[in-house]
Amino acid sequence: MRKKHPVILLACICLVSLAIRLYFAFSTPYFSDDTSYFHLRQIDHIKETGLPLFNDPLSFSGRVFLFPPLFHYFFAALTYFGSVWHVTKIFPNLLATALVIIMYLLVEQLTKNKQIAIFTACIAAFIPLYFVETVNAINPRVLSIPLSFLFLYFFQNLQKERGNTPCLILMIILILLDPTTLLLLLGLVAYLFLMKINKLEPKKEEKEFIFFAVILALWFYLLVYKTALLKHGIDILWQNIPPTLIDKYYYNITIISAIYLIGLVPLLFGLVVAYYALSAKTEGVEESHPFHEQQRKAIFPIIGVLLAVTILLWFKVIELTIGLMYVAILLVVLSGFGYMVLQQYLERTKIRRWSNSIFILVFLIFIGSSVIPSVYYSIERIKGTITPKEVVFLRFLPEIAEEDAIILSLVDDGHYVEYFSNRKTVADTNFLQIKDAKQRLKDINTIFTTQSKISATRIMNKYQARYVYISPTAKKLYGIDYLNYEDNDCFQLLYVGEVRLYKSTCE
Amino acid sequence: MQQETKKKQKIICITMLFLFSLVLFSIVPSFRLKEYAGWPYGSESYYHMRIAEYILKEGIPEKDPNTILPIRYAFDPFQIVLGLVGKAFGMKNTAIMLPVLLGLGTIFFLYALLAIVFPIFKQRLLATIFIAASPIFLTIFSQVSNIAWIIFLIAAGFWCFLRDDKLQWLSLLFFPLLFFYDPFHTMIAMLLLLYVGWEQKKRKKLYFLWSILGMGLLWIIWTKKIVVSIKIIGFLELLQVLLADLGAVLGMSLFGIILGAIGLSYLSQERKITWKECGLFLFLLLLTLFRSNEFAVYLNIGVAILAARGFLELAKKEWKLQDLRKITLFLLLLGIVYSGTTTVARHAIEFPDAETMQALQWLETESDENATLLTAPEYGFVVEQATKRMVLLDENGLAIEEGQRLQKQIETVFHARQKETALDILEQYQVDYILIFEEMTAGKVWNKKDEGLLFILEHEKNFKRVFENNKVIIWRVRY
Repeated sequence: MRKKHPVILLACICLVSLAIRLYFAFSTPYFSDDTSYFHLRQIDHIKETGLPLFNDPLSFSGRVFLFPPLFHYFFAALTYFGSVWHVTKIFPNLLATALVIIMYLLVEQLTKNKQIAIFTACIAAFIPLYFVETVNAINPRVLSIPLSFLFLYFFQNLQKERGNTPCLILMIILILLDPTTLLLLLGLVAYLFLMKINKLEPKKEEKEFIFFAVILALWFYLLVYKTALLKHGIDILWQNIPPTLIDKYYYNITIISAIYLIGLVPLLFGLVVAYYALSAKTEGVEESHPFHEQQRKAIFPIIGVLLAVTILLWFKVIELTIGLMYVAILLVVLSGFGYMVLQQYLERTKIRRWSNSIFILVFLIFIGSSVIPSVYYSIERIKGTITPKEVVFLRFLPEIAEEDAIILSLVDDGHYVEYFSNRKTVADTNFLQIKDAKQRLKDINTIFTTQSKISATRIMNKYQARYVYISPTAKKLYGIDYLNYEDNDCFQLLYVGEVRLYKSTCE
Repeated sequence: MQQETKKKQKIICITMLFLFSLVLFSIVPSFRLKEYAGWPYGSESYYHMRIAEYILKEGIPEKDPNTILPIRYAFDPFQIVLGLVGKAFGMKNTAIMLPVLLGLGTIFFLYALLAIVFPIFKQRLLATIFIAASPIFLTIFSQVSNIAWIIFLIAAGFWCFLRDDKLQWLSLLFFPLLFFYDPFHTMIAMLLLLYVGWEQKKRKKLYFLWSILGMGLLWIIWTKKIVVSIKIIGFLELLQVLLADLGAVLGMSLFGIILGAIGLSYLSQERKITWKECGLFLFLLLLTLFRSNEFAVYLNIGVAILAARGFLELAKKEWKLQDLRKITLFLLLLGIVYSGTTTVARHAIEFPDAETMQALQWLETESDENATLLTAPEYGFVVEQATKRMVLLDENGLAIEEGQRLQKQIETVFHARQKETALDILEQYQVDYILIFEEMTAGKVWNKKDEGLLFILEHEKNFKRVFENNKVIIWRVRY
């Protein structure tokens, strides 16, 4: 491959990926998940006041948020270069596409083979889950995931002079950005264990750096989440999300859908590499062997993180989406290495002249199992986005509901109500620090399912809520078109259309 | 000359250590003196205060005098000490002062004992600072609890045991006092005696004390029923029980544990840790998890010793990334300070506050001496001490079957929809006053202001609101 070819190819992959991403992102004026609107409110607030909205009067009718605000400051700063809408639509996709370049660098460093690095970059551009979750959403993860892998790239160079400073800067940014950095750190600790059980000696700098980073992260998060830790204890791992909701996230996923979300090629190649790297012998292995000591040392940080995330996912300790996203990207890195091993193996066999055909076959499988699902899931995700009619209604809601009125809606609609209508809600999806999270979720379910007007009134009065908002999502979830107990006595119907709005009038 | 300077420096350091400990243990009491009218935190404090006062006035009771339930009173020598000191200085002052004094005494004895593990002065000093600043020590030595007394007894007992002068006989006073508490404390003392006595070649004394403690222990096992509850505990639950940073009441500092693990790894690399020490550590861990979290106190001392070792090794070691070394050590120290400060901050504002106590003292002056009060069981001890009246059910009562039955009846009263249901039960126990605390109406008992008994209290003539402030509402019951 000529010197310039990889760069051109890489640029092409990035451009294609970005073009598809932007096509989907701009196919709707809204974001595809409710939490994006929480982040948007934070960005807007920083723009207006210079400070994040820690004391939010709307969410859960008034509560305190705990989060590291670096991501929101970063985006608030970016909005000086364009409108909030453009910035929040374009930049997350730009950042997500940057992962392609990082993967190229990382795999090139591991395999010393540009062709394989390009192939892996191509796979990285279309990891279905990562693609879908970042295509039309604004979330700290669009920044933290690429930076985590950039960190892993520099981590390989830790011993060298130029490796230390970027590693340090990246780690500090990551810690300030998103608590999911703890996954990376846990993975690095797992890497040290892997080295130990395989009788390999990690670099002294690596041990020192990991120790420093773990202490720094623990200290910082203890400080930020102090009150939540004391309130929820270990439940903070699930962000105080009620168990019924956690179970819902996990039960919705099957092995087959997980394979689709990760992609078949990275899954197969990645798992084979992980297996061989863990089971290979340390002594008496030639340097030309793909799993000789140096090579294993280089891929062990990746396997360490993979192992840690998989274990945490297995025990349902982390959020499914973030866990699977990490697993998918890590498997892509390993699959690059796996493809190199396959190529080396084919060179030594009689079918080496078919290696190009095998490459084409793998590429076709990749298109079938990664590119097509990426596009398919993106279309589905865009379809599930809040509709213009809903938004028009929510923007009109302040005309109906008084300024301090509390709206009871589905938890998934909470952030929409807060952002578009600027009205207080009974609950949204951010449960951290909420004492009666389980009860609120149960009560909201009761409102949508009960036959009893008295129970419903009691719940409405309990939260001093005056309005019930039924979105299309709520209708679909509960299989209802209207409240079972609707009458003009205690629950007045104020609006009928794609959505419904009721006013509770009984004390 | 140089030796003299060193000696002077040592004295200054030790003085500083005690002043540091004094300041640490006094933070919560000083804050409560200033902001909470000197009322100590924690309901257990009030239980001991009430019994101590009762013993001085009426002698040792046969049954718990605070409740109508037939709960057998278990004699606790700590309450006599508390009562005697309380007689001299006033019970409220003693409740604030005595834990601090016990803490200082314990620190003194532990510092002296640590010479066995750390012959080097600096190491010993650091280990003692880690112990004093640990969340458990800050918790137990800022409230009136018998665990503070037990730790003091054990530390003092060991200190005396290791001496060769007349003071050694005092160990015969300190150790047997443990018989009045959970037998596992005696068991731990015996194991530690065996370990220390054997190493220090004090075998004659060891045999003598062992035989006394052994006989005592057999007697306790013979006379008391020991229940060890074994439950399967997950890794995450284990963290919840052990870590103060996750809200454990008697938990350790996360950073202390990390440093302890480092210290342990250095010791095992140098093969300086023996199977006896590992066994002892495991025994303490199991006791903490399966018996009671108060045993974490012993574990905490072990962890602090290891943490001091770990910290010194980290500080001594050459790092390749030298800049990170200093930051890491600084962060570790900050982390240990952080755990201590959050513990202190948490306890400083704990229940009860001055306004609550003002309401309860009003009830003491306004109610009949034999009046019976009803409130949620968790407020029982505080109400009993402040009002000097009997409470229908307190936390002690929940441990017996009758108490659990009574709790169900109280629940019925609290959630009654009809006056008759509530009045029948109230009349059965001749309840004179009902005390509604702020937290009870904020989710602890009721979620709404007009739920169950709250509605009945407001609308029925049998109940009269006799006192109200921001924290408590007191209702008089008429039959």
